[in-house]
Amino acid sequence: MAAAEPIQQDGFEGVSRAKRWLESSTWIELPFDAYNNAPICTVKRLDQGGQKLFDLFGQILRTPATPLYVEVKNYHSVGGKQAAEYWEFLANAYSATAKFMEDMGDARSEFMWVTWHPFDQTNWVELTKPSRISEALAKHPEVLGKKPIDQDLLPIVSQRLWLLVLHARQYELTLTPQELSIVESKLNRKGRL
Amino acid sequence: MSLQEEINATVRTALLYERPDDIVAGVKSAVARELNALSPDAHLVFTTYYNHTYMPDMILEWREGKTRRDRPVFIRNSVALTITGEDLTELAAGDPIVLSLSDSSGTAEELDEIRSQAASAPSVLVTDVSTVAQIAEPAIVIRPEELANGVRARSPLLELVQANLLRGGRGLLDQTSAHRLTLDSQLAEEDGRLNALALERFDETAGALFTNEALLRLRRASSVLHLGLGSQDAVSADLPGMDYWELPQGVLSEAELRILLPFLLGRSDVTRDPSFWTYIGSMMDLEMLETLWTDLAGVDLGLLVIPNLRTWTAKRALLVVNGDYDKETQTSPDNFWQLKSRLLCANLGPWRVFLSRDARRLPGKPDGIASSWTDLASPVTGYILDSVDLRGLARRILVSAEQSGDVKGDVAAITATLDDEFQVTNVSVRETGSDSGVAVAVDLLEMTATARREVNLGTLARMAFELVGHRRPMDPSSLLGDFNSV
Repeated sequence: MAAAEPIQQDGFEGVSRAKRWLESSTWIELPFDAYNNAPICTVKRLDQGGQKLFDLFGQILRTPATPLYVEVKNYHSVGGKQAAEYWEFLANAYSATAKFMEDMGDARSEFMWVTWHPFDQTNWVELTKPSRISEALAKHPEVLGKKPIDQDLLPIVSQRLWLLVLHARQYELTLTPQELSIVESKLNRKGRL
Repeated sequence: MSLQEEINATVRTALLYERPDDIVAGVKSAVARELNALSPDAHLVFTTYYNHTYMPDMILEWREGKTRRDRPVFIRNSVALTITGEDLTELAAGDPIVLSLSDSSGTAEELDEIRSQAASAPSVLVTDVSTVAQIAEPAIVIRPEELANGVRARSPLLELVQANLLRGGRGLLDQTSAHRLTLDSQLAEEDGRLNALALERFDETAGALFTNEALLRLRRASSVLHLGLGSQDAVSADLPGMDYWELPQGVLSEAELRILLPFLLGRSDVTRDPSFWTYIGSMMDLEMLETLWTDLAGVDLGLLVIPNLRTWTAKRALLVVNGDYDKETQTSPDNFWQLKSRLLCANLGPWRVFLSRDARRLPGKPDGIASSWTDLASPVTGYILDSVDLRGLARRILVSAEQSGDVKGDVAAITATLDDEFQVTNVSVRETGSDSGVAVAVDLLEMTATARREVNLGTLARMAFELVGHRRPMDPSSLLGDFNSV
C-alpha cells in the first residue's frame, strides 16, 4: 500500500473512529484514507508543487454531493501542537480552494477538522471565521505561491469549514450498524444523488 | 507471477487511481473476480458503497434448494489496521465476510486480537483477497505418477472447502490457516479415498474456520466421499449393509452435488451398494439432479437413479422414438439413465423415455396412434383401470370408475357383447401398490403418462414403456432394476 507517512496504529485508530462516527450520521461517506489512497486524499495548493494530504476523503450526501476532506487529530489533552496545526489547516483549506478555482473551477470541496480535545478555547467561536483564515495565511504565506489573497474567497472558504470535537463515548449514542443499514435503506441518500 | 501476486498488484494499482469511481470499480471488480472463482454458482450484487462503516460493498447471493441465502461482504483496506474489535463486534449481527485488500499481515499480537475478536463473533469471516485467491486455485492434486501420465486428480474435499468457504466460513482465515486447511484437505485423500486419521485432522482444522452449519455440511459431504469410495482403513469393512439413516441427513446444496456426483459417478471403484445411493438420493430430488445436466452430460446415472426410482417423484413421462436405434442390428447406444437438455431420460431399444416434475417441460407430441382395445387390454391388466374411452365405428363409450365399480369387468363385457372395433386413445390407470391413490392419464396420441399429482419415477417410466409403448414391448429391467420385479 502506498502510505504517505508511517502508519501509526494510534493515529489510524483515531481516523477509523472519526470515519465511523461521521458515516453513522448517514450524511457522510469517507471511503478513502491517506494510508491506502494517498493520491485521492491529496489536494494541490497555489504554491508550485505544494500539496496537502488529508486523512480522509469522501463526500457529504447532499444533492448534489459535496467533496469532503477530513483532518483527524488524535489529541486527548491540553497542549501539544494542535493550535499551530490548525493554523496550517486553515491556510491549506484556502489555498486548495483557490487552486481548484484556478485549475478547474469551483469544486465546492469542504474541509473538516476532527479532534478529541478542544484547543484555543478563548478564540473558539472565531476559529472558522474569514478573519481567522486571513490570519492563518499570514502565518503560512508559503501556501499562496506569492499570489494575493482573494478577499471574496475568504467567506466562501469559511462557510466550507467544519470544526468538530468528538468524545469516545459518543459512539454509545449512535445507532448500531444493523439499525443504520435499515435506516439507510429507507433514506436512500445515495440513491437520490 | 502467482495468482496471489497478481491480485495484490491489481488491487494496489486500483487503489492509487486518481478518480474515486475508478478506485471503486477497479477494486470491486478485482475482488469480485476472486469471490466468483471460489463460488462460481453464487451471484454477487454490488452496492453503491465502498469501504463503508455499515453498508456492505457487495452481497453474495446463492440458493440452497429453494431457499435464497445471502451474506454481506465488507471491503476493508487492511486486517490489522482497519478491522478493530469494535468493527467486528458491531458488524457481527449480519454474519458478514470482512475482506481485507492487503495481506493479513500484522504483528502476532494484532492477529491474535483479531482472531480472538473473530472467535467471539462466531459468524464473521475475516480474510483477505490474496488468501481467497490462494484457496480458489483449482482443487487439483498432482501426484508423481499422474504427472508422468499427464493426468491430474481432482480433490473433491478441497472443492467442498472452496464451495462452503464464503457461505459458511468464520474466524480469521489468513494465509497460514488457509495453507493448513488446503493441505489437510488434500492429505485426507489418498488415491481419491479418504484416510480416516487425516480426515480427523482436517475436521479439527475446519472446525475453527467454519460455522456449525457449514461444518456439518462438510462432515456430511466427506462422509459421502468416505463411504462412496470406501476407505483404506478398517471402517470400510463395515460399509456393506451399514445403516445409512444414522448418517447426517438434510439437503445437499447444488454446489455440493456439483462436486460429489460427477466425482463419484466418474470413479470405476465407486460403491455399487444401492443403500449408499439411496442415502444420497434422500438428500436431493430429480429437480436438483436436472440442474447438473452440463456437469453430468453423457454420464451413466443408473447407480444413482435406479435405487431412487421409488423415492424420487415426477409428474409426467414422455415416450418418443429413439432416433439412435439401429433397426437392422436392433441395438441402440446409451441404454442408461442420463441427463439431456436438463431432462432425465433413457434409451430402451426403439424407445426413449423422458421424465419431469414439470409436465409443461414435456409437451406431448401427436406422434402416436390410437390402439385397439384388444392390444391394450393385456398390458393394462397389471394396473387398476380407472377409465377408458372406447371409440367404436358405430358408437363411443366412456367407462369410468364414477359409473362403474368394476371398470375392467364392464369393458370386458362391452367388448365381448358389442360387435364393434373399439379403438382407445386415453386410459386412466393407477398402480396397484403404494401409489395406488394417484391416477395417471395415459395419452396414446401424445405418448405421455401424466400423474394427477407426483408419483415415483419408476411408476411413470414403467407405464410409459408398458402402456404408451405397448406396441413394441421391451424388458425395462436394465433401467428399472428391482423396481420392475415388484
